[in-house]
Amino acid sequence: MNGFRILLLFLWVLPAAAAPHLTRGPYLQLQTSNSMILRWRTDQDTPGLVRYGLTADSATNVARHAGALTEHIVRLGGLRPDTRYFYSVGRETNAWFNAPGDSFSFLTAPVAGPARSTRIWVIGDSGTANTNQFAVRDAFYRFSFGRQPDLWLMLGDNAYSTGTDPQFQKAVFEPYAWLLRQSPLWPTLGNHDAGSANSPTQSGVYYDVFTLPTQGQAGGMPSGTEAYYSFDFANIHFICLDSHDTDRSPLGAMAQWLKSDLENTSRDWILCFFHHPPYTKGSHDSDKRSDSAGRLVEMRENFLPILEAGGVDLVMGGHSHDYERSFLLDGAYGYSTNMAPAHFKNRGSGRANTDGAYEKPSGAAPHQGAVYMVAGSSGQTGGGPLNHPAMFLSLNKLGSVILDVDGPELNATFLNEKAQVRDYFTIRKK
Amino acid sequence: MKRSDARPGLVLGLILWAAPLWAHGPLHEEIVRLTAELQQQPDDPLRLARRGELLQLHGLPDQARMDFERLAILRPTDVTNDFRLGQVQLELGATHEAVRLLERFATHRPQSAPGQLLLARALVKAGRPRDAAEHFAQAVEVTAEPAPDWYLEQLRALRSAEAPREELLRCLDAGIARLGPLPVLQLPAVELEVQLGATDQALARLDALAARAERKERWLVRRGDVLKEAGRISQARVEYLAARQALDALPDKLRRAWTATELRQQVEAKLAALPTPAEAGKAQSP
Repeated sequence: MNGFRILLLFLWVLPAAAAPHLTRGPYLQLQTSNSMILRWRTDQDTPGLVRYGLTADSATNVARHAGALTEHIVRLGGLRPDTRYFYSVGRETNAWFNAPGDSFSFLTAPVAGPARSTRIWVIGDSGTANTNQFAVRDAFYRFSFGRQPDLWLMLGDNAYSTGTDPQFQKAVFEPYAWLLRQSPLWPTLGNHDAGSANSPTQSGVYYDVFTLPTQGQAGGMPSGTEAYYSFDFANIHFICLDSHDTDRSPLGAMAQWLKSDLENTSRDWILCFFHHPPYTKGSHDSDKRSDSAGRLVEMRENFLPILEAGGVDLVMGGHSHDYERSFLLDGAYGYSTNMAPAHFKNRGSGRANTDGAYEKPSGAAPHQGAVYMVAGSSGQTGGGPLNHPAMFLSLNKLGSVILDVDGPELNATFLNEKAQVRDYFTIRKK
Repeated sequence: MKRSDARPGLVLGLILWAAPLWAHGPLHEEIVRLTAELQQQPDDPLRLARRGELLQLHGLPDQARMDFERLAILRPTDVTNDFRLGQVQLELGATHEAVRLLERFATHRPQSAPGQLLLARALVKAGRPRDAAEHFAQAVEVTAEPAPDWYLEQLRALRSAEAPREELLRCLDAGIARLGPLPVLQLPAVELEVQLGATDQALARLDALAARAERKERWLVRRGDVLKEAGRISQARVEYLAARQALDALPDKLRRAWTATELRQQVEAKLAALPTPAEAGKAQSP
């Protein structure tokens, strides 16, 4: 009798033990107005299927990739713009890892051009996989309850200390699993991520785990590389640069691409992000050529003139583990000691309820001023003098940034790990 | 996007060449720990190599060189150390020594893209652009996803070597074939086509770019410039007029933007500078 019971137990346990399990994701990548890429990982080679539809009950369309894999990448095409889809991922048509539902759904991007209320969550140097990171995340979830971000940005150093796959698992895919499956993530490479990745060959962990545009699939001009790219969302043009591992010279491909990309956009807003900030006096110093092998200085000297001529509105970086936010600036390409009154297009707070929002002409007008932000405290703080004269405010505080773009107005909020607003400002286009 | 190819040399490249920078704290602490361990075992090759790499990442190439030179004595046949030492010699300006080491590494590991690329860059610095161009081409050949920069570096090397324009074009077309019609590769190719008198090919390249661009007006201006350069004045005028029309058709906020008004002024100036049909006919008559 005992032998029979053991046999029954064995027969019951064996298939369960052998069944493939989801070990990562699903997560959303490369969102466009008519497509979305879903990725996930299983612990065994399996086929990869997605069923999707306009309601949880009608998620009956099926897309799949060829073959049996552990890294699953399925592109859903032919979708409607600005539309919510519900989905499941699975290995067979009768073996799904999740049921379609609110937390397994996504919105496609709206058609590029017309304005639409957009929320963007921005985190930098978040990849500590510790309670600091989780507190910043939870504060945002509380703050943004009921209003999912339409997309979110990672400003680099996404996984400490060397961007290995287990580190990405602990610092990105596990802590943000809930958000990753509902809102597309657009990252940039940080120096720590580059410990296990190589931009010139687009290889290594960072490039393995993310699917990023190379041919202008989501708007913008094709860059030919996942290291730097652009994309559109409604009336916003986003530009991601690689400040760590790509040629930063004016003759380099990245600078040349940036010029043509800026020439060809019609969006109302231009937001740029890269890891090494052009202005900082935190745990890094943008006045020192020796800091980070000159990357901060090179980004300021070589890329800010292009960005400002192209009408950039907001430039975001990390690297220094703090929050620093500038006045409305233009033309400050030298050291902080050389900053002059002419570099300040507006020396106010940018706060609409005190001395007024930063105002700019509509469209991508060149040299009308940009706000520069360091948001590198989403996982740790690093101190430093925090006295760069470009900055309206410098805080050695944990936190993240929320951008709300609504037609001609961009509202930015710095939220600390206790969900308290520690800074805010508005840029308004007239 | 894709899983890493298990290419020989890639792992080495990721470790040595990707320029990863650990935080100052952990990096410094690891150097101190390795130094203490090396005091007990001064000839431990693994520790010497690791400390050298960390010193290099920490911005101390002089000290890194000492570790790699010691390693070269201990392991004279270790070609991996040729890469390490070659890289640090290049950083320190010892170009010819770097070339010697990197050539030896590339001979033993021809499939290493980082090895080929670093050698090419060393050869540029050594004033051997023709050889450099060959190694840039090798680097591209052995890589699954080469960066656009590699083609531009190869192009610069070929220009320095005074290679014929047809060869420069072949370099760019190889990149376009691999990476698509990127503006950073197509625009220099347009210039070369114009210099070679291949106007229609230049226009075709511009059309490929314009097809993927949201805003057409600058591409129309460029078409006009190419046609003007070729002496096809009436066609140039058509393109400039089309550019002006495209500018006028922009939504109000874009049309009033400084970039658009400046471009419109340029178009007007270009139109005004074109010879009239009578002048053009006169200039063409013997």
